[in-house]
Amino acid sequence: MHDPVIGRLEEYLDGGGPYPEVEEHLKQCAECRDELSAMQSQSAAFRKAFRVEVEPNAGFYARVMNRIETQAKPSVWSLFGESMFAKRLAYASATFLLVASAVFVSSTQPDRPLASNDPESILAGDERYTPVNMDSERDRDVVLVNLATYSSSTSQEYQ
Amino acid sequence: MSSLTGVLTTTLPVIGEATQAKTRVDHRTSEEANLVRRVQAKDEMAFKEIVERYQTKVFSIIYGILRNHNDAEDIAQQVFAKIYFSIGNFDFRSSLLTWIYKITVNECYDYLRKKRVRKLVYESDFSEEDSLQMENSQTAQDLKAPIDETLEQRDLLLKLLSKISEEDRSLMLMKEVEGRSVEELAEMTGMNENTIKVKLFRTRQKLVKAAQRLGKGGSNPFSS
Repeated sequence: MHDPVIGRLEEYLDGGGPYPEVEEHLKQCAECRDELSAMQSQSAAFRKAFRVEVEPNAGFYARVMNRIETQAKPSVWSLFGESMFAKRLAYASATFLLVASAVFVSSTQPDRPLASNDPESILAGDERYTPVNMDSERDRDVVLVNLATYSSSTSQEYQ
Repeated sequence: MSSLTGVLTTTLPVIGEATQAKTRVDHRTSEEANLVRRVQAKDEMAFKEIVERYQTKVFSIIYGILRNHNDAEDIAQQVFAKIYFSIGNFDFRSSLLTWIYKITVNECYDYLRKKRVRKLVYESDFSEEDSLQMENSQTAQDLKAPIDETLEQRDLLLKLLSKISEEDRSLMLMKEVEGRSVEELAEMTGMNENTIKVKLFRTRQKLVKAAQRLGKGGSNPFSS
């Protein structure tokens, strides 16, 4: 769109005029004619779609005050005094608690994986995988395997 | 922007000069400013006056956008509650009406956004079969002639308005729906008339282009 039309656009859309400089330009410029036509249609559509005058039902002020009272009730933050410092303190405490509990949980996890049940790993004598105080059936197996290993090694020594 | 303002000033020197002098309205000294100060000082009678003065305007804006009386009532209450709680931050840079207008339009768009999210969540609960069935029924409905063209056009306009800034949206609605003149808008917003003209021109251009994209054919979707 060109200067003469832009300058008078709002007045033109409001039905003002005539503006000779605009009319003259529009006669020669198809681009401005098209754009102006689109803007006129859009302007009319806005007016048609949204222009209404509706009153709220009687007692509107009382209902507004009711809502204000409801929304003005103390929030959770009021326990901390509503100040920005109190909110930051609450956030910091919550973060600290979260981190502390994460550290606690990770420190109570077993730091060694459970031993495998296959005799090869036990026979390999890998102490890292030898469980301590496991269930009785597992203990019995470990003892039996250890005894067998011991007896075979001593018999080899005597031979 | 400044170059376009320059163009407008040189194209319309008379209007440009008159504008500079007229648009510097001091919103601190008006009768309305006294009312606002009283509300800021927790005077409930002053707040009641504000509600009574603007309730029809606020209600009409909301109803114009949503076309539902219950929703309009709910949002209008929320608008005035917001005004009550945040009037302490009102800085008198624009008129009270401009400020209220902005809050009202924003509340409407918040509501529409929440409603859209709720609809999406609701639809995500459907099974694939249900969704397919719904889609088919919607397609069937789309094939029928539009039940209400005005409603369709209103939806299109709301969609277009959601694509521009809050400030441009308020200006456009105050100009087109409220029927405010450029001069009045300049007084209300504290901007000069040329700035208002430039802003409105750019907004109109954006809206026309967006509408043409939505129409896909590059044609004017508003021409009947």
